[in-house]
Amino acid sequence: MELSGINIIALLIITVLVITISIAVIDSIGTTVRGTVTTQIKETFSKAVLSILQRSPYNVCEGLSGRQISTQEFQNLLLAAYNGQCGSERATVTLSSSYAKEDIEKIARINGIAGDGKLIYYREAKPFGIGSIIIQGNPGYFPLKKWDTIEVWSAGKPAADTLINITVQGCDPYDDVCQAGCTYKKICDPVCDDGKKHDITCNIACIDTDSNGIDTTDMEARVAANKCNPDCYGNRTNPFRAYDPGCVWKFKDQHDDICDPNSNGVIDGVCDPDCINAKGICDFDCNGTVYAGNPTALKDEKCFACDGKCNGWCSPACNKNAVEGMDDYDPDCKKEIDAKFWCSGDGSCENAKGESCENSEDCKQICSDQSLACCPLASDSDYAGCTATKDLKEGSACGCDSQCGQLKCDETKHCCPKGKEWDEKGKECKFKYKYVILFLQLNAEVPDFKQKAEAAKNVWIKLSPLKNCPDFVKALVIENKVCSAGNTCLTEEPFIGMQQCMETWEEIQPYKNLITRIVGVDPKTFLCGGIAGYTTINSPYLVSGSGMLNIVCSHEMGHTYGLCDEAYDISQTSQCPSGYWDPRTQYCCPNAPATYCVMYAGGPMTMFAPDCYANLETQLNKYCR
Amino acid sequence: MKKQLVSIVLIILLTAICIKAQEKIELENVYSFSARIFKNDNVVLLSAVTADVGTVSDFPLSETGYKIKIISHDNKNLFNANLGVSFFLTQNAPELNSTVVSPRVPVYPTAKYIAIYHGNKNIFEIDLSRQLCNNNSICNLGENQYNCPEDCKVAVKEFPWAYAAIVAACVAVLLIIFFYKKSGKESDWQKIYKKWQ
Repeated sequence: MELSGINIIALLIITVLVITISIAVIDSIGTTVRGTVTTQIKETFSKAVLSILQRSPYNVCEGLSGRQISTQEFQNLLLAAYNGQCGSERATVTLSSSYAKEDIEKIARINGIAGDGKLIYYREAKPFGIGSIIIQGNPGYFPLKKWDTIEVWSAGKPAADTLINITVQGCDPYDDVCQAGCTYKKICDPVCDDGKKHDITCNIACIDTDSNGIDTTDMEARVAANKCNPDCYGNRTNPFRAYDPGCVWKFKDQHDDICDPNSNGVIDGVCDPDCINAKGICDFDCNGTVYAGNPTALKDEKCFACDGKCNGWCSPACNKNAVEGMDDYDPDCKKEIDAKFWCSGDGSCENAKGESCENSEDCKQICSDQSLACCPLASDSDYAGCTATKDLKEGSACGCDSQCGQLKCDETKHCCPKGKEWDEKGKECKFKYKYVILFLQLNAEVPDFKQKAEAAKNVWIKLSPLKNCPDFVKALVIENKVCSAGNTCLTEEPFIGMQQCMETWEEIQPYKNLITRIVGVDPKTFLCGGIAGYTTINSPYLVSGSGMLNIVCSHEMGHTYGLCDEAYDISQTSQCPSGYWDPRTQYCCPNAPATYCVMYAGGPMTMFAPDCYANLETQLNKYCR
Repeated sequence: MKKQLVSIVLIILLTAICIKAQEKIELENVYSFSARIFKNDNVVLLSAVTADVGTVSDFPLSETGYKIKIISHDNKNLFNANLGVSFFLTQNAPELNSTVVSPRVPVYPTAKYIAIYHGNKNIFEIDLSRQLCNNNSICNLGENQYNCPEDCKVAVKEFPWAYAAIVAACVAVLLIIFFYKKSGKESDWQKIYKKWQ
């Protein structure tokens, strides 16, 4: 037999068919074929090569990221980044020493990188691809300074360059450069306090030298030294409530339209006439008496009325011992007698008391003023909970959503698209949970709620076809909130209440579009005095007493998939395809009566009868594919 | 030989069809909303329609008397499913006056509105142009040229490069074979095949 042209064509058609069907099969399994074929091949090859090359037992870049590092560690990090061991990751570290240009050259020489220190550049922003070190650092003698937070990564072709970028400036008070980073370290950099404007945040350490808050002593010291720092006198808020009473003194005899908001409620021995009419700022020094700091006996009336608001001053008209709800109560006064108390709105961010950008407007303001992300959980977060580590890429380690830009910080603390979770094995964000059951506490807290909800989920998995894919099922248990659900005695009120909670509670939102069933749990063992739970057929909402949640949840779940109560509610009929219905509702039941089924509340409830199970399979098997 | 080829092709096709036909849960773009449906066919929207990534809801397999449909700009039925509406509690209690539904349905590029039917009666319509179109000059998820023409003026479809490359490669191979045969020379394949014989 000779190979004819027709045979060749047939073989080619088969080849085309096989390729097309393969793509269709891959597509149906879940991997979409996108982009050019060459891109696909290139990506696959790169992944394979990286997975082989990057399987070192210890990744220096990952290990050092988020830490304050010594010179030796800095040297190791540079070498690792230079050799491409960081992959596409960026290591974020804080330096514990300052490095002059010759220090960096020396490190490069010792490491034998960047042409033995000859290829180090300081003014470039983009990689050359020549195996150099490119530093976007501080101006002056020390490009990298103590407490600078830097990012280190490699980029560029053909020979990758090592790039270093300062994300948060550090502080060296002994050099001749004014550094904004000293402000946040609370170290006075004398160069910044030279009477000139440097356009940096006011450094409280240069003014409150005894660290007990700005007071009359500090004012006197500033006046005696004839100091007034223009960066410390303005109409803007300061994260440490820093301002310069030396400047207030300097301009105390004139209206300059500046009432520094940071002087709010502070007794510093000088009255600022501009503060008399400033809303929300009280200058106690304007007390209506004549003295050196208030030569015209000005009085700031608002300071002497009890306003009951958290705004930074405790009026003498308030009662410090009053409790919330009383007319003469003021949270600012409570702060004075209760060392642990804090309130939002007084202009101070007191992290030692538990105040952070997550719970306080004062701290939140600090993050937004500096364009930082609010994430107290981040390893490099400051005292207010702000971090410069933000706009992270997919798969990057994170502490909070705010660090991930449009992405979400998942339960494993990696940035992933909404609905996906980080898969450590595959090193990618994957669609992990397909079946999410939301558990809510109705009207009051349920003791051991988390354990009870997890147990209920596990029973449902065990009894239903979801046992074939337990890893895809998640119980989203909201432990710290109670859902107001109205009357739970056989009314629709809980369904409406649960819908509202699902819609509005922040912690539910990442999963909102994945939730399959919503289980409301009433702390009472039985509802209406004797009912274990209820729902309506085919509804996603169900209500259960907490007493037998584990089994009641599965029983009601069965209803939500169309199953009828076994035995007592089912009658034979010729009007339904299955031959059974519930005569009360005239609903055609998919299941025939069986006393050993979970749907029969009078029995052991240890399994779904075969016809119940078959019905569940038709609806649940899709979750396991 | 021909029989073998036909069998192989059929087996491959059948396998692919079977795999493709199995429904499975995937993350996709979905419209979601919640509504309270009253026995007298009044419907109140509890939460506005949003479009986001998620899974399509479970819809009952059997008739419930209520349907949820997605209708296109040219009145085509894009999606049709039974809506889980029942006013009977699973306990022996008085019938409820209303119930709550929270469906998630797929996003279609030509969707115009979502409708809820009780029997053949259209009891509620959600005009997607009113619910989703925010006229911000950005064609957001859920918006399309029909429900939000201001934001989605030009709909650019991603070109299927992978399929185009495969088709182009096959056409090229066929052309080479065609011209090679025409030149009268014996192909390498034919030589190899003869050796096998």
